[in-house]
This record gives sequence, C-alpha cells and structure tokens, in this order.
Amino acid sequence: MSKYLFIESRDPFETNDVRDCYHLIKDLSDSGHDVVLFLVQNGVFAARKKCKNSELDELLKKENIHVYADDYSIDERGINKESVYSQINVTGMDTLVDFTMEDGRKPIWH
Amino acid sequence: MSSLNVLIMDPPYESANTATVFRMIDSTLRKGHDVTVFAYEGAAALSFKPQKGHPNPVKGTSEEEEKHPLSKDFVEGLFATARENGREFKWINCGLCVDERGVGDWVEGPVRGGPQHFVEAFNNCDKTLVIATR
Amino acid sequence: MGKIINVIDTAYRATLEEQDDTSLWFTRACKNAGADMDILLTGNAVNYVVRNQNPHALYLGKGAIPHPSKFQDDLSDFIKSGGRLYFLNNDLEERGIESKEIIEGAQALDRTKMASFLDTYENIWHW
Repeated sequence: MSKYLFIESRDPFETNDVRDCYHLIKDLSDSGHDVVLFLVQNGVFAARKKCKNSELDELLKKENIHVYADDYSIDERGINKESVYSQINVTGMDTLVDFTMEDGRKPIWH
Repeated sequence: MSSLNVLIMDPPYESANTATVFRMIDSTLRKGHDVTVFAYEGAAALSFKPQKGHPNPVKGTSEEEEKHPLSKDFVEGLFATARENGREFKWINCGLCVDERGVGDWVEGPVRGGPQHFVEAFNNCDKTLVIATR
Repeated sequence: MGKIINVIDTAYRATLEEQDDTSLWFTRACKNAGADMDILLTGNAVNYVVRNQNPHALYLGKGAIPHPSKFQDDLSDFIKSGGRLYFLNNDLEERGIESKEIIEGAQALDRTKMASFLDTYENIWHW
C-alpha cells in the first residue's frame, strides 16, 4: 500500500476540482492507501464544522485518512479552533515538512 | 537528512502560494534538509534585485514605516538560513523565463538554468514537489 | 526516481503570449532531458486532445503572435516520442467533446479508475 500527501490550497467552493480531489482521496483510501490531507491557504475554509461540505465529512470518517490544517492559515482567517472539526489537527509548517519528507510518501500540491 | 526539490511558478504579489512556499522552504532547511528551488515562469521574478518598497497612501504610512515585504529579501533570507543551518540550498531561475520578462538582475545566490537542471535535481533529491500557478 | 505522471488541469493559460502551454512545454523538455514522463489531462485541459484547435496568428498594434501553439500537434509529438497520453473521459464528456473529435493515440481514463492509475506512478505532479 502507498502513502500520499495531498496539500489542498483551495476553497472547496472555488472550483469543482477541489471536490474531485476529495473523491480521489476517498478512492485511494478505499483501496487501502494511507492518505494525509493537509489544508493550507483558502483550503482551510473546509475546516469549520459548519462548512457545508459533505465530501470532507466522508473523509473524516475514514481511519486511513488523516486531515491537518495549517495553523497560520487558520489564524489568518479568524477561524476559531473550537469551530474546527475535532478530527482535524491544527498544526504548523514543520508537520507539513515532516509528511513531505517522509520516506515513501508521495506529495501532491493541489 | 534528505533533500527536497521544489518547482514554483507564481510571480511575486499574485498568489498565496508564494508566502506558503517560502514558509515551507524555511522550515525544511531548519529541520536539516537540503533544498533546491526551480523558479519557473513568473517565479523567476522573485529574486529580481531592483524590487523596491513603497509608501502606503491609503494607510498614510511612509516607505520607511510601511516596510513593504520584498520577495528578493526572502530569497536572500533563505540562503542565510541554509548557511546558519549548514544545509545546501540552490535557487535556479529558468533562463528563458528570465529573458522574456527582463528580470535578469538578481540578488546574490540564484543561478540560471533550464528543465535539464530540474530533472537533475529530481534525480538527486529524495522528494520533488511541483507547485503550479492557477 | 521512478515514473512521473503530469496531471495537467488548466488549459489556455497565457498560451498566446507564450506560444506554448508552459506545463506541457516543461513536460516535454523534462522528457527530452531523460525523465520518464506521461501526461494525464483533466479539467478543461482535456480540450487539448481536440483535433481541430486552430489558433490564428494575432496582430496587436505593432506586435504579433505569429505562431500560437497547436496543442494537438504538441501532444502527438509527445506520443511519438514514446510518452503516454491519457485524458479523463468524464471531463471530456461533461464538456460535450465527442470521441471522433480527438487525436489518435490519446487514451481515455475513467474517474473510477484514477486512484489505481495514479498508484502506478512514483511521482504525481499536478499542474
């Protein structure tokens, strides 16, 4: 099984391409692959629990999908940590670097 | 220790990608990895030496007060971070992209190159990340 | 370092002033430099397989864009050089592009097969 890192920089309401990316992540997960989804920039708009984004809800239910959000992007947009999904880890750039450099993990900027 | 090869495309002052990639490279160097950057298309202007700050008439600040961020300073700063941390840092500006934009006057550090140098870095680095423009 | 799939998703971005698509150009340049590369067209970039793309020369004041690139020809050359070209069939159909309109050698990929397809590559570059 492979390991993937998707760095999602775009708002899910900005383009269908973001939702297509969520679907791809789900398909990879269903095939048994381990996926990290790291939300950054406007990608963190998906992190609010009240965001109407059922595709992300589905990803958060999966054991082999791990979702993180960039702390600076969260703060920059005034998103309260309490309003973020409990399954999303708000973390720093060092975490993104660790996943990017992790042996065998394929990084994809989206 | 391992090494990261990054391709960036966005010009200065146009995309949130630029600040993120600078943050990411800074962290990568501090965590003890080597980094190669290939500045393609508009990103070839990130290290353009004649960049100059300006006042902000809307906020009523002078040039000195405004301290407008310049991407060339960030590029220089990454070279300094690499030196402080004993890491190898290469910044390759796409030569054709530089020529068509007339941005060949750079701060100290970047070198001129082409796709073959990106492929060379791809072959020598542990990871490659492409951050395209939109 | 393994095989690379270039997922090209955005079409006609500055292609007139460049007389090239910069993602496609870079892919071909890297392949010429020895990288093992294939292409997957998604989003509006699926239109690059349309055979009848016909960008005319443009004259703008004293300036000119005399040779806009014909991407169907660039992609045919890529296939001839040994590269494999795929397009996401769902994105093609959504845009009403018929299979009879597309160049020879381009291979259709269904979205449901994308995960297993991507997993055959060590490197995924999204343009």
